[in-house]
Amino acid sequence: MLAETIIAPTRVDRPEVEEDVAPDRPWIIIVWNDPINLMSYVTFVLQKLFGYPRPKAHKLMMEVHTLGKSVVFSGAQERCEAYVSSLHEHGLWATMQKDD
Amino acid sequence: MRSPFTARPDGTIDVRLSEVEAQTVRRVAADMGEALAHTDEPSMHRLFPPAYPEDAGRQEEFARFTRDELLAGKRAAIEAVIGSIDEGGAKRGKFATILDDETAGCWLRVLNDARLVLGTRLDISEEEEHRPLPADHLRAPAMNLYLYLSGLTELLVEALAEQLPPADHPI
Repeated sequence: MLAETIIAPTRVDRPEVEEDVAPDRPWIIIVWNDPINLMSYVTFVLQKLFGYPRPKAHKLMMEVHTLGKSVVFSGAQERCEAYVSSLHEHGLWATMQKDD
Repeated sequence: MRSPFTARPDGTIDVRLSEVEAQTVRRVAADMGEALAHTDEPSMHRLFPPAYPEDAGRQEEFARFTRDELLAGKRAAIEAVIGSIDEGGAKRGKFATILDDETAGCWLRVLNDARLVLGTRLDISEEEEHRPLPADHLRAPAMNLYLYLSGLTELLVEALAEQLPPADHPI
């Protein structure tokens, strides 16, 4: 009986918090408007790198296009650096800073 | 007109170009390879933007850790594009090949990098419409190439967008 108790599956209550909304996310990535990158290209890169659904990627791209910039991601510094590096690999003008 | 890029069900991209176009892409890729030897040129700066424009210390560190990899990635992408064109089939003026996902991504990044460099040299700005310049204009060939690459990039994005996996996060 004891063995059964020990090997019985234990229910673990994982906090239902997505990584994206963790409290310790002091860094943001900004993509800036530039006159050369195609709108469709920017949308595609945001979908590909961040796994965003097309409507979200499109909305962020339109912010870049009409407002001049958009915060496309926030998270830990290292994670942001990795994404910024990928964005640069794809020719997007991305910078990062502390989210004050 | 049919797009030169077709998304195939297995995740690859079918490419059909005229041989002249394929050789144009090859030359653009080769030129980008040469240009990467002169990254201090102003038109090349756009390919290496700073991550921390207002923090020289952090930027220096970021560049130290990422720049070589970025440069190596660009060189590898150029080689992949040239390789895929040299290995592709060309017959009676038509070029055809099939690109796996990774190589298609290399095509996209090389085409876009070339547009960034050309566009910077041409002073492309959002306000103006981009039309072919008069044939005798000094910059007509560069503008024609820029416009051609823009069209090609747009069509490749369309094909690649069909191959994207389902989004990670629901809306």
